[in-house]
Amino acid sequence: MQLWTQIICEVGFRKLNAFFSVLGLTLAVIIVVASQLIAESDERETRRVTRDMGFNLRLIPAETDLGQFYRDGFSRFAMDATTLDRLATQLTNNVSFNHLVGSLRRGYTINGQSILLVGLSKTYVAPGQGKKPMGFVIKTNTIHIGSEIARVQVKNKGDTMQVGMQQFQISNDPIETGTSDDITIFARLEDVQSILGLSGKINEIEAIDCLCLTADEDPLAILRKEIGDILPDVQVVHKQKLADARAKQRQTREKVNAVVLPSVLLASAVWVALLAVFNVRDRRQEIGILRALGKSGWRIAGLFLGKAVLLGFVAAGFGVVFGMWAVLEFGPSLFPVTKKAIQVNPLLAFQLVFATPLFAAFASFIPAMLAVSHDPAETLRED
Amino acid sequence: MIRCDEVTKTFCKNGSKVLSLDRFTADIRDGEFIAVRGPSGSGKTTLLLTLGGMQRPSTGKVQFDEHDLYALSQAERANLRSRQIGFVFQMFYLVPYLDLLGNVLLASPGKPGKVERQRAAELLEQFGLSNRIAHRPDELSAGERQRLAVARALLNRPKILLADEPTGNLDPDNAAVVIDHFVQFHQSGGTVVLVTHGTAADTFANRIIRLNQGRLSGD
Repeated sequence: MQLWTQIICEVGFRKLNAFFSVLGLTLAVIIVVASQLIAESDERETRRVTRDMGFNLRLIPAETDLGQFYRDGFSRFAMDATTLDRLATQLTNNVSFNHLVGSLRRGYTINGQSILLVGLSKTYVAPGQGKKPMGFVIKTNTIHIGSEIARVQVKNKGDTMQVGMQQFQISNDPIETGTSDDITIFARLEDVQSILGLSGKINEIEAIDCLCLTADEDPLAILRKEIGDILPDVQVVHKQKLADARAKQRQTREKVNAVVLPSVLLASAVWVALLAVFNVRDRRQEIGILRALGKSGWRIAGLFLGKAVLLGFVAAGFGVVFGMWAVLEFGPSLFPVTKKAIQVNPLLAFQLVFATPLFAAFASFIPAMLAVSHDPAETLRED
Repeated sequence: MIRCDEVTKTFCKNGSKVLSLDRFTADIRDGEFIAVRGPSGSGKTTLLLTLGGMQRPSTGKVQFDEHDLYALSQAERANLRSRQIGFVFQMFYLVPYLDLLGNVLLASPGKPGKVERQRAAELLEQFGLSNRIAHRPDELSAGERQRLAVARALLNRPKILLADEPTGNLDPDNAAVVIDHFVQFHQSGGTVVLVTHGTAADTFANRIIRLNQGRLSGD
């Protein structure tokens, strides 16, 4: 009698035991598939949401009076634009900040209206991370204007507007934000430097911190140390509430991933192991007679481990199909911002087809060893 | 063929020591038909399992042909059992999820080939079970089950059959049929050690061993 024939016959005979084993493993696979794809979606969503929260780090010239800075919204002092380049060259995966944008900000008056004029540099990101730039990209000869400026100056998207000596086309729909953006004109850094006669100057670098620290760590001290080592002549201002929100979002996701998946795997392993123990108990007489017929321990172990592998394959098939279907079906409503990025992961499916039988065999290992070490004489004497 | 030398087996049961075999010494020669008799708890089953390499004695030695049976590794003992010893038990111990052919072929030491399948089919024919070949054991009567168990024990043409109360669950007619198969095996040159309460085998046995409280009380 071949091992696999015997295993298949036994599975067909003890259908309930096999069914519950497959059920437990299938649920585990579904949850693994779902949590993996959800984690990827969640990661994308978190990244997008936190990116949309805006910058939470502001680096300003060291001599800036913070009272004036908070009151006016910009520093009256300026620093060399090369400061930004120096910081950008230090952008690696080992530093705790990313997404650097240099800016030159000043109060300005247009047709008697006091506004804020902001010139933005391109965004610098750490190499290899491929992250999209924060905020909006301003094209040559265009500006973005705030809603209050549009209202007072009677301007709209597509209109031209003179700032200083230059004409710009308005490239945005001015929407009221309820922030100082409503009285701000955003232009390219070079244009604003030219308008203000501050060529080669900036007065702020904005960034995002990448720290997701625990409660006992002080992110600002870490950032000040890291940035201070590169740029000793700047002050680091941290938008604490934004940073906390970002950190909280990431930490929540990481906690869920760290707890849910191991718990599901553990529960599934215990479930499969218990069913295997029941199976061994049910088959004590069979083990006894197989021993009497001269079958080796390997053969006995093979009966239980082989069964686990077989059921693992079946469960992997069901689990991968159902898990991916569930993610594709319900994922878009859970992650509306990045729903287009939700897709089937063939590599994950391939990995699970091999990993599930191994996992099932691992979970059944102790019961299989119990079967091997079972004293057949004990059973065969129990007449 | 099998020599038991001062074989003692003690068990620990519910915290107390039970002596199942007490310095049992006997020779079982090739071609003998031995009936082992004795009251319940006298050590008959323990003797049978010890002779078959299924239960290591606490002390003493079991010699199987040229082998010190319990000096062999577990795998060597299993191999010897598979090729030279056939077991039959009172409770049949058939595998419930295999059909009759599968149960017989289970005794095959390796992957059963054409020869083994043919031998199994012949045995089932000989035991009057060829029309039930695709049935499962739970569809058989007790007598048929025991015949199936004997057929399984004979698949590998063992040198010795060790039977533990094989007729204990059978009516007299079926018991006679099963005993008849043991007799046929014996007549074809096989050795039979039959543990029994009854006297059904006494007519055919050429030797009767009596056990009492694990000790040989008559031979």
